[in-house]
Order: sequence, then structure tokens, then C-alpha cells
Amino acid sequence: MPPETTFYMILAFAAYLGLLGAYVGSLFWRRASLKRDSEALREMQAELERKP
Amino acid sequence: MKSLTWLNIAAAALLATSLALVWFAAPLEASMGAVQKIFYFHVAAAWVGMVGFLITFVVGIIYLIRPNPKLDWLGAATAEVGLLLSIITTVTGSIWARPAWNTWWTWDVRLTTYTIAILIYVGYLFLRGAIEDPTRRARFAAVYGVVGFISVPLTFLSIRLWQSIHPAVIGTATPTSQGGFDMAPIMALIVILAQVTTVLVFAALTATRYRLLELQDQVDAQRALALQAESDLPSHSPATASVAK
Repeated sequence: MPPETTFYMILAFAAYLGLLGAYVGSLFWRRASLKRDSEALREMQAELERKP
Repeated sequence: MKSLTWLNIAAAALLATSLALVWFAAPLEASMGAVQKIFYFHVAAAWVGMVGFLITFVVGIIYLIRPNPKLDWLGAATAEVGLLLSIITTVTGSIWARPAWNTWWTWDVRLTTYTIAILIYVGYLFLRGAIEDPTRRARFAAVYGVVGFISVPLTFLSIRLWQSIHPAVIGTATPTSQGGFDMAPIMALIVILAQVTTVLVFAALTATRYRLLELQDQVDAQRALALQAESDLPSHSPATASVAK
């Protein structure tokens, strides 16, 4: 009869998916942040070009 | 749809399939019980993470010979994803060790050398974050990635060179290593699937991170242009500014 270690299995998979999910989330967050920066810089550039 | 999106979808689908097979199809291992199931991903994350560091090492050498920002982005992406997989390996290994070794952590030679390798690659990311100039950052990171790689073969060979309680998955015949795995055919099949899944997840995350570094470079160029345009305006010229003071 194998020992009862289901709790540790659940904990290990939660850690695995949690760490992976956190990293994927950080990629999304960094992408959104870069897109926002790019958009702001484009607007700033356009405004500077409009100035005489 | 773009190829990167397809790669991400394929990686997510294969990960879901592998997880389902590990949970519902893989048999219970006799001596460890259910917790052994994390090994399918623990082992895969360990060696794929090390492959990530190996790529950082190789592209670091190529960069030093023939500098190219694309090589720098690839080195940074593989180091970051390799670090993530190494942290996953350590955390899942620690959780497995609690019922198997009756402790969360022990300063065993494999665990110690692996922790040192992780800290070295955390340092790599800190180094990249601390240098503003992209060319200088890339050169320093390439050198660091080459020198820091020494920790990887040391970690791999540690259980063969010294006495360790960590099981040897590859080369179990080594007299100083302990443990090893005998698997049922279905277990062996799921092990292979978990390895393929982890390779695909690594490729998807690396490609996504690479794309972000490329995007970061474009934003930095845009910022430089905007600053240049602003300084070219008469009202913002240094001379005007000094007069205004």
C-alpha cells in the first residue's frame, strides 16, 4: 500500500502552476507596460512635430 | 494568427494534456505514493532549465566574438526562463522531500550547488537591470553568462563527484550516487511527454520574452528620438534654459 502523500502532490502542482502562472502574468504586464510607453512616446513625438 | 501565438497555444494545450495524463493515467508509485507524480515535471524542469543556461553561455561566447543585439536578447530570455524552471525545480523538490526525506530542505551537495547556480542567475538579471547603456549591458551580461555557467556542470556532476542523498536520474550506475528509477511502460511514456511539454513551454516562454526585449529596444529608440526632438526645440535648448535661469 503506497503512503498517503496526496496533500504534498497537490501542494507541489500548485507551486508549479503558480510559479508558471506568475511568470506568464509578468510577461503580460510587461507587454502592456511597453505598449503604454510606446503609445505615450508616439503622442509626445506627434505633439513636438506640431510645434512651430 | 502569428507563429508566436500558435507556439503559445500549442504549449498550453500540451501542458494541459500532460497534466491530465499525470493526474489521471499515471499509476501510483509504490514507495512514495501520489507525491511522486511531481517528478514528471520536476526532472523535466531541471534539465530544460540547465539547457536554458547552456544557451545563455553559447550565445554569450558568440556575442563576444560577433556582437549582435539579437544574441543579447536570446541570452537574456533563456537565462530568465532557465531561472524560472530552476526555481520550479527547487520548490517542487523541496515539497517532495518533506514526505520522502522527512525534511523540507537539507544542505546536500546537489541542493547546495543548485542553489548557488540559481543565485548566480539571479545576479545575472540584477546585472542587466543595473546597466543602462545597451551595448555595455550586453557585453557585461555575455561575460557573466559565460563565467556563471561553470555552476551548471558543477551542479550536474555534484552527485557523481561527492556523496549525495539526491537520486541520480542519468547514469545511476555511478557508485557514489544513490537511487534511480524503474518505470512501468505507461510511466515511461508520460515521462517522455512531460519532457516534450517542458521543452515546448520553454520555447514558448523564451520566444515571448525575446519578443518583449525586442519591443523594449524599439521603445528605447522611440524615447531617444523624442528626447532628441525635445532638445532641438528653441524653447528647450540649453542656451535658452540658461537664459531663463
